Amino acid sequence: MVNKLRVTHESGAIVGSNDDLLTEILRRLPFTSVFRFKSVSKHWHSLLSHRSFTLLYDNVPVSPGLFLHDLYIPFDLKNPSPPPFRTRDFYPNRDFGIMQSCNGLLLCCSRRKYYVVNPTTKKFAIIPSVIGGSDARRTIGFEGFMGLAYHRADLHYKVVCLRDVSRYGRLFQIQIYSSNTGKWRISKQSIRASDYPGDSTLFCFVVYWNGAMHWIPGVDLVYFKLDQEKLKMMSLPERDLSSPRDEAPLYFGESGGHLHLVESISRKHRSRLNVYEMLSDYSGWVIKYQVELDELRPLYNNSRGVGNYRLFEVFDVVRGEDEEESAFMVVKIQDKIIRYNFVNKSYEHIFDLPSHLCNQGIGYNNVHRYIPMLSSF
Amino acid sequence: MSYSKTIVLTNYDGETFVVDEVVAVEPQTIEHMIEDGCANTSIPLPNVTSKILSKVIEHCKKHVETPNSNEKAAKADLKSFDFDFVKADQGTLFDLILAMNYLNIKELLDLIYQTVADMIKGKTPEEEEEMRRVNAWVFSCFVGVTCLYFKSKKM
Repeated sequence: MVNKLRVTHESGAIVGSNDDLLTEILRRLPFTSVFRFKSVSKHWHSLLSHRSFTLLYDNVPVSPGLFLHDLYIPFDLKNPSPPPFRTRDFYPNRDFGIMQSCNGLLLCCSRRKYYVVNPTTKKFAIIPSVIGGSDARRTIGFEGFMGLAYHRADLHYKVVCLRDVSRYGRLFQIQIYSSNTGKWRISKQSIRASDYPGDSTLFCFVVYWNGAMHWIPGVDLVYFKLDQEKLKMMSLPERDLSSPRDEAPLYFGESGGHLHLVESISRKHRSRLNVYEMLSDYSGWVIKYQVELDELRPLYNNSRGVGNYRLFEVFDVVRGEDEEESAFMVVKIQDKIIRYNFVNKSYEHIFDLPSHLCNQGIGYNNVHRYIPMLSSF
Repeated sequence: MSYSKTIVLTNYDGETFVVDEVVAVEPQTIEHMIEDGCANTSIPLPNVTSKILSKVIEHCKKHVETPNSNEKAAKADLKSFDFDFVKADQGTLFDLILAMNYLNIKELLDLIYQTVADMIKGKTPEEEEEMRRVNAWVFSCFVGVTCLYFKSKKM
């Protein structure tokens, strides 16, 4: 097919020799092509590897899919843009797993050692042990109490560790690691679990948004502003009084600079979901989208399952650049992974889960968004 | 400023194009020239061939004529016009990039950049050999000669 094209115009040569124009074209390529085209010429190699190009390229983060254990689930069937690695790379054994995805970087853990990985460039950094010696390391053995904070505009990332210094999860010391200094530091703030009624093990799931780490240990949202090192609290969206809040939300996460929370409207109306968004000044939650799960009824193998928590799960809420058209939610219904568009209410069956994952709850904390990023850190 | 005024554009081949000022000011470069009073007789556009210039004028006209409303139909019409507009061969697209860049029409430039990017990205080649072939072709697009490597290759 290539042969049919005629000898190119000289204007191609002019565009090709003008780095500004060439950059404008190359920054619109999928990252797989960017990697490939590094071998087109020395000129392209240096252009595509240069920091000014990678920063420009990473400026518009788009997420093509999700990691779920050793599976990769592309959002777009027509354009799956597979990551430049096999997901198995992360799971050579059961000990190595992704803990958190944050704006292109992954926090991974293997045998109580933590790593920050860029899955696109395959670069990784080992996070040194927290302050407190081997005793401290042991208490963090339970995966969750580490969290990654990374913003694309910064060249550095931070890791926040909640270390149980009381035993039994009553008092957590906050330690902060900065890639800038390469050192851990103990914050003056600490988390007293009794101030936040709920289950302190829920501090294991953390979301980085707006310069702060966010947890939902129970009935409140707890957040820790990294620049001021201040701990703050905020209530969750109001609920129907007849349903006491004793369950974790259906989904809690960040996308495109928005913090989202998904809940069913009430215990009675489990098939109706509200997608809330937090206002950026923390002044409250607003309902961004509403979903009638009955619309998805045809996807159930038998219709009695609609709204059943074990059969239905929200994996992700993704907001794109063009909000009007591209806001969607990724849900699991029995053995199917569905992409549901909030705006035009259409849905698409994008993946079939292997049988051993169908009838068990997976949890959105075990699903990690893939965001290609060319910049090194 | 009255909008019934016309502007004369003279291109690379010496050909002249008479266009309404309201159309001519779509490209920022021409707008600035008019503002600076450089457009009393005609505006020389030595970098642009007549084929490309008429395409550019066609585009500006369409965008000026389409009512500036939020109406879905108008938006969709413009979208499909732009879609057809960039259905051109590679040489024309490169010519358009140079012309648009010179005339400073940002919106259309974005679309053309994306079109060229889509053209060269191709599919992910599975084999090393195929990948080298695609890379050689891409290289040739941007140096203006056809690479010997794939001229000799039967595909």
